[in-house]
Amino acid sequence: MTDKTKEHAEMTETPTQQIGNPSAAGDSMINAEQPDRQGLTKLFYNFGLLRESPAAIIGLSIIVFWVLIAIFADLVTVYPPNVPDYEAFMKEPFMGAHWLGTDILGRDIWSRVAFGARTTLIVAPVAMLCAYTLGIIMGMLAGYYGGWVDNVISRVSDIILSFPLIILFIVIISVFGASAFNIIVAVTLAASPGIGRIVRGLTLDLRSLEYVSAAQIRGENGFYIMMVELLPNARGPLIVDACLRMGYTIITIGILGFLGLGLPPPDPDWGGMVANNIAMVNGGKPFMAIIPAVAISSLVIGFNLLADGLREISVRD
Amino acid sequence: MAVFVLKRLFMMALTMLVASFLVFSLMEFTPGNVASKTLGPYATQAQKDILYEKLQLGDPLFVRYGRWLGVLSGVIADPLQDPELGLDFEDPRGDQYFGNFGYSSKYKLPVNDVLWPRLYNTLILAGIAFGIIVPLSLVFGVLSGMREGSILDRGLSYTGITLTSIPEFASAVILMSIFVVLLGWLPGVANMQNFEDWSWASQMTLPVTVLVLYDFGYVARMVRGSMVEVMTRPYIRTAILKGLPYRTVILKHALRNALIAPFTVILLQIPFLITGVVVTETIFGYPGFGKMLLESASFGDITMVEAATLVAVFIAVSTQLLGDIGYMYINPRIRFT
Repeated sequence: MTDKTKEHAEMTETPTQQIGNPSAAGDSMINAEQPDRQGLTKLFYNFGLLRESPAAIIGLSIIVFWVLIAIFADLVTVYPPNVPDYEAFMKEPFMGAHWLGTDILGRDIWSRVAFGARTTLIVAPVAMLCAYTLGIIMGMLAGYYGGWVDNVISRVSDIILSFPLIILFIVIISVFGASAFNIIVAVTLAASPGIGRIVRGLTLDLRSLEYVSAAQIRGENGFYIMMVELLPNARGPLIVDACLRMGYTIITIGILGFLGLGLPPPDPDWGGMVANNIAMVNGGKPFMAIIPAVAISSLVIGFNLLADGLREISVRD
Repeated sequence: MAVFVLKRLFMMALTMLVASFLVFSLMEFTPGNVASKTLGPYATQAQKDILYEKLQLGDPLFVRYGRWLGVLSGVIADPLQDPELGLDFEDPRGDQYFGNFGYSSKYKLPVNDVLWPRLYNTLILAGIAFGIIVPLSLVFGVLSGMREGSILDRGLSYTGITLTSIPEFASAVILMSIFVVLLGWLPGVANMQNFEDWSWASQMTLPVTVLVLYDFGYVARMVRGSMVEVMTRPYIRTAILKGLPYRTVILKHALRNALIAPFTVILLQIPFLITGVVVTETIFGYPGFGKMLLESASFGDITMVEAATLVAVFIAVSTQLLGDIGYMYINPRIRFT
């Protein structure tokens, strides 16, 4: 087991630090003098690096598109998402007043997609934030202190990771009921051991570096070293992982919604919209289910393309 | 080696115990208790109270969990089958044997009569899907990893990303719209009935395709990554420079080393396949394990959920163990202690 985790750490270790490090990646012409970039300039420069990967640009554009839709959902829609239009049931898209059509209950599909983007893009990042907080704490403690702390954390993680997650989700949510909070708890529980394992591997690699020893000799406490010395230097692989995981979290939320374990009706979420309208696919009106299915797929594709592009840029040089 | 396997088997038993206790205590929070669920909505409160008393459901959680373990291991008889209760619950295997998962309050049948046929159906579905995913992703992964950056590689890379990004329920909807509604070639349900309307093969096609599409991209990308890494190694350069045919270099030198890492990935795919199976079975009404799990969990059928959890954890953990042992055999550099 240990050999494998080590190997995994090595695999994830390669792209370390390069995302945030302009001297390692990027244009050698510009970088000839290794200018000292800081703050906003550095941020813009790193952002400019994305130009090198068309995949990342496409991915980012898709994400930005959905984020804008989610923020301005009230402005880009005409009809309220939960109110049926009694004069327009199951209208086809691109015809008449509802431009993406209406669903079984006569609700405007475009409005529901737009407000569904809002729910998805609130629940998924919050869930990820919680999962990362817990995962980073677990991984840092295990990697930095080692010994019994590492043993306990790793064994607990092993147990959760070997659990087929869908069972955990189904049980937790069918027991405690469907709500955004419960989805976040379920995702956090399920995702944090995996994050913890990655952070642990990164911490093990960084722990023996000089600046950590320097901090230790300086008499800094463990918390300071973990947060100030180790975490910022582990961020490269973590950013890539976060993008990938965001995609999977959105899929998970979609699956839960689809299985009837997502947000309680009538508020729109994409998975739930597919589930509500899937019966009408066989009834000859597939568009009602296809539109939310395409919406969720496109957002996940966006995150995965961005992750792939970031990884490509970071391992290039 | 023996120590390693024993250690892992012990961890496996521990994991199953922890998982079952976790699920058992979580199920405490569902509304209603075993007595009311078993008797159904038409029973009077008095009847429920009597059953509640007889089953000693007022005991603390640990006592009841211990009793469930006792029934499972065949130490004590299943209290629900007691003829005095007048429930007419009868398990042909008797009321006390090893592996007695008890009586399902949802299906009103012994869990063993529901669980195994359903699991068998799922194994067929997942087995066919797995049998397609593995060779397909090996072939495409190796082909694209062989020449990194080629058009084939680029194309496969982006196809892979796209396929893994489309959740099963979305691809199912799209495929159903095309092949069921538009073309009418395939049935939209796979309930494994009415074979005169749609043959077995036609019913299986869509569920299998949905599972394959989702997992193929991921596994193929793993194989590709490993192949790319191997192709940069010095021994490949040496093999090419000493004039070996490219075919031989790929088949004899690169392939064997490139397949080591994906081996574990492929086996670790099995728990993911379980998730996909739940969704796919629900969409197509396939009478399998995943659909059963979802139904019994939303009903609050504790015996069924417990049994399903144990089976799923067993499958997940034992494939991981198999993966580690296999890994050790194909990669002589790795030795576990």
